Amino acid sequence: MITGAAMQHHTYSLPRGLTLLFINLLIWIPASLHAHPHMSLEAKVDFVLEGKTCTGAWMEWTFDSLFSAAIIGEHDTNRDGRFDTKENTQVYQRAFINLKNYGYFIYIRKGDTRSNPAGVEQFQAFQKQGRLVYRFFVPLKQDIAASPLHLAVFDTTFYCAVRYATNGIGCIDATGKRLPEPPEGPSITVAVNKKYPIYYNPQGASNDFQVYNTWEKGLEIAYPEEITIQ
Amino acid sequence: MKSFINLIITILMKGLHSLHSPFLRIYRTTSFWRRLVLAVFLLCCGFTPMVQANPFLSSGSSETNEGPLVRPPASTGPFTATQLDLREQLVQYLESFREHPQLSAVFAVLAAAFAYGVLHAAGPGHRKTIVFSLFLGKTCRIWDPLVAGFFSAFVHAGAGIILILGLSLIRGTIIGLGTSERIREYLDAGTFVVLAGFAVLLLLYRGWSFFRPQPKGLNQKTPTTQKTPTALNTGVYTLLFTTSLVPCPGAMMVLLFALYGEVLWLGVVSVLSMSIGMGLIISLVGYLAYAGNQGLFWKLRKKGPVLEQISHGMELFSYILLIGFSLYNLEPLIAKLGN
Repeated sequence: MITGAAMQHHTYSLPRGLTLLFINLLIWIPASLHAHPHMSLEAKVDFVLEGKTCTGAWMEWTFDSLFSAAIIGEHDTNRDGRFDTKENTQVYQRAFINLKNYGYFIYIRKGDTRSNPAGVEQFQAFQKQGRLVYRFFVPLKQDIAASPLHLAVFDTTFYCAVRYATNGIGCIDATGKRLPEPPEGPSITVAVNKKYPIYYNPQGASNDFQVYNTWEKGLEIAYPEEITIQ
Repeated sequence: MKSFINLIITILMKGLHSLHSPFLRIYRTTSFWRRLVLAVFLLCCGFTPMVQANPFLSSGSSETNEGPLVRPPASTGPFTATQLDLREQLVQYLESFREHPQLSAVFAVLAAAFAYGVLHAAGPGHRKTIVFSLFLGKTCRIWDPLVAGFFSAFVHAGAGIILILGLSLIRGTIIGLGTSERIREYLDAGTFVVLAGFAVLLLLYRGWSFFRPQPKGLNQKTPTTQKTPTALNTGVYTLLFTTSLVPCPGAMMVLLFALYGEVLWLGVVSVLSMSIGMGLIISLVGYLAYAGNQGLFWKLRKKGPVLEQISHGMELFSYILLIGFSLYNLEPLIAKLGN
């Protein structure tokens, strides 16, 4: 160890550099563990109502230009601007169905109970002005007379940013006819609900898609925008 | 080192195909170097059907459960909407150039790509923690964080260019997003394994020298107070190169768009412009660590033994940080292998 003149200077208190260092750590390390969206989708949702029963919801997701170009370029092999049956099946298998491992990004809440849809139906991929669009039906059987139905479209891996289309959420009847605004028709609100966050397990994302209703150790918390219909 | 590489190969191979592949029979019976080449080959071929990072994409079977190999994030970064808007603008400028090839469109592409790069790197990821950790524990020249930041950003972007263009050339058709995403995911996991391995080795080596008894009078000849900042050695840049070899998904999508739109050269240029923006942010992070390191050095410059020990301690701490960061990110892979 060093001895001599250098040892005789004891003029420092808490090193400013050390403080700065830990401030840096506090700022940067947590941020670096996160990631950021690499793609985005705009969701339109049409709830299908039969009386006071919500039988399901039609989802229409329009993707950003880059993801659209990649999927259209890969799967619209004859370049005719549409997906035929074979191409649609290919898109479904290679660029959609893996979402079932992520609860289709759809979180349904009735009271305190949250769930993901068991499946979706009538998947159709198409192109609109160079953009990729997915349309599919999410079957539900929810009576909204007793208590409101809440639904959120959200990606807990944060790979895909989701936003709802302006004026893109509404209600239709079984024939597809748009229902009137309240008070004649059901009311729809979209808001972040801090009371009912979504809990998810980032570590278990590869093999565990359990829906958590209460926080447990290791779970992350997110507050997506929730659509409420009543 | 050889056994360490063997370990990495074994982990990679286990992750690659759950031991169902005929390649693994070759793997078990061939020499070390052949196995190394085979592992790299499999990585490059994207022979990775069990893993996916983009939640939409899969290898084609509806029965698969293709989750991420590296820990998914816990939130979005800042300015998400602005970032996505910038990306859309970039696409519009690329399309505008395709329709009307003018110099103004090229400048617009470069500007949008640069701004996107800045915001994209300001968000989480992109190896900022690694650069931060390196400069936290290293005394270096003042320009080293700048060089390292741009070096990391260009390797990051270059990996994307090589992956998309290289594999498209080899296959004779444009590589799909799903395949490139799968390769990216394995590269991501592989670089974290390498990073953790290097950090463990460095921790052991430097830890040993920290506690090793010093020969009497040795330090009197080289007092720490006279220590000059040393350049980051080749090993550190090698580590940075290795860990930055993960293509940015954003850059890959820009390149695919440019390939399909037949404006490839502009796509490559825009990715390079994006890298300059990203390099600025990564360098800034390096300078934050550098400032912390130098501030401490300046404050303790007259306390030789304390400075010596704290500097050494910080270096060890930075390696522990890297190991922890790598293991944290590799948790899904470890869980997969455990299962």
